[in-house]
Amino acid sequence: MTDVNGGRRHFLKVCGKAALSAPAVAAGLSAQYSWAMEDAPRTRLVDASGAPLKASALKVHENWTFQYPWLSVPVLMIRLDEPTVKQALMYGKGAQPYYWPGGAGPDRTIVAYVAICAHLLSYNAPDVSYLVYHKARNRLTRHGRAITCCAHGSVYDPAVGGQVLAGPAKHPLAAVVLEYDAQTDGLTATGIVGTDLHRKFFRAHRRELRKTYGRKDWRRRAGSTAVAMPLKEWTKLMVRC
Amino acid sequence: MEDPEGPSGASRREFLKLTGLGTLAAGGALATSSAEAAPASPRLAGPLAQPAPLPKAKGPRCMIIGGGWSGLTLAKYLREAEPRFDVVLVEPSSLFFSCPLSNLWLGEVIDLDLLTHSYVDAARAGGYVWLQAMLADLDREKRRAWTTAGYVDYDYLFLAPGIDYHYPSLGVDDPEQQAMIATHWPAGFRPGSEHLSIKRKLEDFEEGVFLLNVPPGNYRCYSGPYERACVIAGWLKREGIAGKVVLLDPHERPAIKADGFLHAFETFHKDHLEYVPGTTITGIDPEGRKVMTEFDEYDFADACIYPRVRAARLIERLGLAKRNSPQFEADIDPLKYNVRGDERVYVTGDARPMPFSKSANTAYTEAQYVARLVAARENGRDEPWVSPVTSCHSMVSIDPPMSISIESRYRHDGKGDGWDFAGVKLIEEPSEGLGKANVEWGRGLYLDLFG
Repeated sequence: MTDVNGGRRHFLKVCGKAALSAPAVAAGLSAQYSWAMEDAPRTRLVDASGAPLKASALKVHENWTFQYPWLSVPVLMIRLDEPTVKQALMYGKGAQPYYWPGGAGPDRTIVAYVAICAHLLSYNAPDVSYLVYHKARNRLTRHGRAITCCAHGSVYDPAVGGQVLAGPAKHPLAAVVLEYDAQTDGLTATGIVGTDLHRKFFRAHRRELRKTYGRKDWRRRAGSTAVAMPLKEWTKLMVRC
Repeated sequence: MEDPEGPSGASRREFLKLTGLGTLAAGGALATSSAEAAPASPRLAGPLAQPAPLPKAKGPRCMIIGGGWSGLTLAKYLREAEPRFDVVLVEPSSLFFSCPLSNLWLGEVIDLDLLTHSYVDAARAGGYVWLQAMLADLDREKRRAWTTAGYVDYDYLFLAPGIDYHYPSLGVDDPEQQAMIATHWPAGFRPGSEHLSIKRKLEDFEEGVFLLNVPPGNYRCYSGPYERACVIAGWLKREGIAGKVVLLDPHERPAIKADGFLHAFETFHKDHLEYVPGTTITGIDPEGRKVMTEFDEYDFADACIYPRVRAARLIERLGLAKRNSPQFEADIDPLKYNVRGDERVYVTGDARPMPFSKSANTAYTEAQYVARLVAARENGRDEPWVSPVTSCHSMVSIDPPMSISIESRYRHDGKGDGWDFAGVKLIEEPSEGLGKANVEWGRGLYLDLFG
């Protein structure tokens, strides 16, 4: 269930949880991933010029963004400096456990998460981004190599499915599943696993989303391509705490 | 829970007429169903001694007094912790007005509509009933609470009435002078008429000293007076007003985020802010527009004067105040929040006696624990204590908006009233990012409580 060889500091924790959950798996949880969106689009990542994005363009530890599976849903993509586990069983309070399929790319280091905080739905937008990955430790909880939401201090682990490391969030970040094409070094988003927050998100922020993305487009699904770019080029302010 | 002592048909009709609910009742929306008139509270008679116009309780009735941060959070999270709970939130105000972030509105960093919210929306989002009324009397034996809209029989009662001001702490004992000070120079820590009034003061301010003070004791919003000093100084600068803020503080250094505030006073507000530490107000001359301190007198053109805060007078009036508590706070179990010896009545929020910061995030996180605790108790279980979380951003500059922040928990020393801070995290270097996070903190909580 868990990649024993690829495990880093989180291996034991993940493995322990996975072992505990064996009965749940037997009881019908064996569907490989619990998709938050059943008919998710296949969306190829392209660069600002429209050319297919190459995984090798992502610098280690750099925050990237694209919108998926809706035009107004921000995604945070990071290339970590170590391979992730191949698969991890994820838990959220009061929710069905689900599998996270691990990172993508030639060395399984590229991860992507929906940048909507599982606590109170703060999210990344062109004006300001609250959820940002830093290799350095944050000042709030002293976690490094973590995604910190500076609105209320929830801290997530990008190396293990976006699980909560600290703060008030009760669910992992929803993860975007990426498919890697070794031939072209290209990346395609194929779905979302985790807690489905999009209805709550649309409801909570509809006035603002309409303003940012337009009345016609704010709930438009991603098409066959999505532009990915460094977060700092997309957002005016990356909050650090 | 059916009310076995509903009013007779005639008196019920009269009552409904009085409360303007006759038409609704005719449609059958309000069904009370028995023949006997309710016995009046020993102290209350007349229409108020009728049941409040509420739907029949569908489960154990939780009645919450006060729709501030604590009461609103309880209302939502009691239902979340135990869906059988039938929740009634009793709050007389027609609108929620947020004290948190209100300084940002004074500095025109945010709009008023971010601060004001609807109790109707809150009740709809949380699946409970809002009763626009005030608590008038309480019989804990009978578990009956009388409100200005009639009485309610409860299974659990939560008192979250907040604070009142204690003007004698400023050396002002004469009620006439107290009223004059409250009317002319409101403290602005009980929303929202006080806040609206302060906004007008700023807009109309021409020149001279705008006086602010930090009260002694544990007051509401520890950073509030310092943040307000920064915001008003920033406003004077932005508007080019020939005036300055004078901030009188009984502490030797700012009571919280000291380095961050002192740095901001020096860096951003040098020309418009005079910080006077170690200075306690001992008297006020309202006619002469002067405050007296141990050593000096300060003239002012306008002011917000912040007396020591105390638990809302309701706590004392109900006989629930702690003996010898200088701030008249409630006598409750410090870890379980129930009135001693009564597991049906709880006191939360700023009327608590624990020395926690009287802040919104403290009340919000505390109330979530209390909701889980009471749900557990209802089901014959216990709930382990968790510390409330005080999380508080302060805007130290409005051009551009920049904030500093603190987060802290608390540790009980295991005996009596001993408490300590635990895990304090300070960010005292101001940034625009934290300025944004400051606003987003509030937006998240409003969203959670009002939908």
